[in-house]
Amino acid sequence: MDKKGQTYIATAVMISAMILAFGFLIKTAIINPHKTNFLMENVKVEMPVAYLNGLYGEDTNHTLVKTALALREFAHEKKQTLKIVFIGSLQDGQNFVFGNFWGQDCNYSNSRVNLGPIPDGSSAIVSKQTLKNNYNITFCGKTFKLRTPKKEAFQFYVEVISGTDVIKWDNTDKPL
Amino acid sequence: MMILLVLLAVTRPLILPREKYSILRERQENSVLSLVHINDFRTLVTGTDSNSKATNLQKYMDDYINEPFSVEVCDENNTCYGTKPSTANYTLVSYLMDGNTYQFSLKKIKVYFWVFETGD
Repeated sequence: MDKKGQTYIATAVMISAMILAFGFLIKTAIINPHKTNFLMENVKVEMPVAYLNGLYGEDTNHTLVKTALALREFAHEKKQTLKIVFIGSLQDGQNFVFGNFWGQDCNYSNSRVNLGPIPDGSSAIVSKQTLKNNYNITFCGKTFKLRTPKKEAFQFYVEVISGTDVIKWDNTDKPL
Repeated sequence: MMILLVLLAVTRPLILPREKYSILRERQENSVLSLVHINDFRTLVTGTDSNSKATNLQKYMDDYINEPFSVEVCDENNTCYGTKPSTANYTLVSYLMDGNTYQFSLKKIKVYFWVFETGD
């Protein structure tokens, strides 16, 4: 085969590969514009339900911890890793519950105080006074802009690690 | 053009079965997700503590799911009520559900969708 023929084939192979790759990218974007999976959808529904159940049952801390631990175990059964960090205001209007299910012990801080750590797999009740009127909190490396706990508010970050995929969710722009 | 056709012919069998499975799976998962926001469904799941109640739950779900399935509900002690298929020809969609305000308990819903070989 002459040199011109080889160049022609090489160009054809490159163009074919580019067309296939482009098609795959377009297909992925169309099929899955917002990456999620079934476990993530499960968590997105049930964590807020647990918060509301806890509020009305007057045991928000217990309910949230129990649900987060159960979901983490459930994820493990599905051979996925689930990470959740949340802050919810409590029914007394004076306290927040900080939940750490992020896989490591986490500090929480604002510009005035640096508190913690909260061990992985547990929660802590934090009073308004402790935060010294600064409700911009960093917790497990995530940013929470809390409302003062006069009304229901639940914010959470979630990551589901499934194989090489990391699926993320946060509701902090639209807290419950 | 010939090379493109050869590449498509080679990759098509690798891509197509997985795509068909993922579409099927997504449809099954969506059918379960469409139920979990319905209060009646949640109440039935939370109250499932016998095989007869699991049968009632399955009858309720029949109106929402358009393919053959059976359902099991398991409590926190992994005591399960309902029916698990005796054959291996099923796909399983499982969901962890919180209880309600009055009865806070976690339930695991297992929906087994029967798989039939179509031969295509």
